Amino acid sequence: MNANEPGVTWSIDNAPAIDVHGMTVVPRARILHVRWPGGGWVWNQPHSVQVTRAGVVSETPIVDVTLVAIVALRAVAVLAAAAATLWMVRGLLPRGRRNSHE
Amino acid sequence: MSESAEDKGIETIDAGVIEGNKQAAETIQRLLDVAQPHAVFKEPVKVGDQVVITANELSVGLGIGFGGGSGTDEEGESGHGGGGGGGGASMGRPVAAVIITPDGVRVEPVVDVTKIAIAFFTALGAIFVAARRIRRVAKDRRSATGHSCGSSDIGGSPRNPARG
Repeated sequence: MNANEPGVTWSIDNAPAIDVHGMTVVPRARILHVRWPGGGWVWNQPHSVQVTRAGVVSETPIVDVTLVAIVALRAVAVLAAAAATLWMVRGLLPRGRRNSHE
Repeated sequence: MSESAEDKGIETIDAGVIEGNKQAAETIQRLLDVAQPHAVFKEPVKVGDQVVITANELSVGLGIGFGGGSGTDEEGESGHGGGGGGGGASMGRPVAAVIITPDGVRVEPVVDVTKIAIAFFTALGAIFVAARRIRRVAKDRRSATGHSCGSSDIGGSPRNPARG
């Protein structure tokens, strides 16, 4: 699909290669394109670095530590809220109905 | 207003809306094209025998809309009009530094302590609010059952029936 057309595209693209110290380094980025009529949103995130040295290709991932930490904390908050809601719902049920569930 | 003048006015609005949408689409495309891999990775900087490339997260979003219309009021007077609006936001954040040395390539993460701290305290607040709600429901439940049970119904600590 063309990124200009409405829809969602997800790709991993290469940035220009860098030749240094006898190595060829290719930074790679993941790109999420969301287009709709009259608007759009693009999210670019570093993905990895591809290194070619003496004919050997290796890839080093780029981990977004901040994003991982934030997602983990939010997940903990959501789980806590879900557990609390479940607990409350169970607590609010009539005793007999609760026992029949158990 | 004569009929032909009105038609001409509506045609002008329609043409304006079409042209506006066309220009909006071009503007959106130009802005979204900014977010490409070469924008994520900055120009390499040489420091001694090391080459450093900073890697950033980029996010761009925007929306534009145009519209027009015509109508007739209760007295038979007709009118037409058009308008448009838009909004957008962009965000950039350093994620890591790619350091190329003669020995190899290593990736050093950039940790945004402020963002993590904000997320931590938000999560803590959500857990605190949830705990308070649980306590409140447990208390209501206990008072509704007339303190007759030997232990809390809702996960509370065991209670002394003598105190009941």
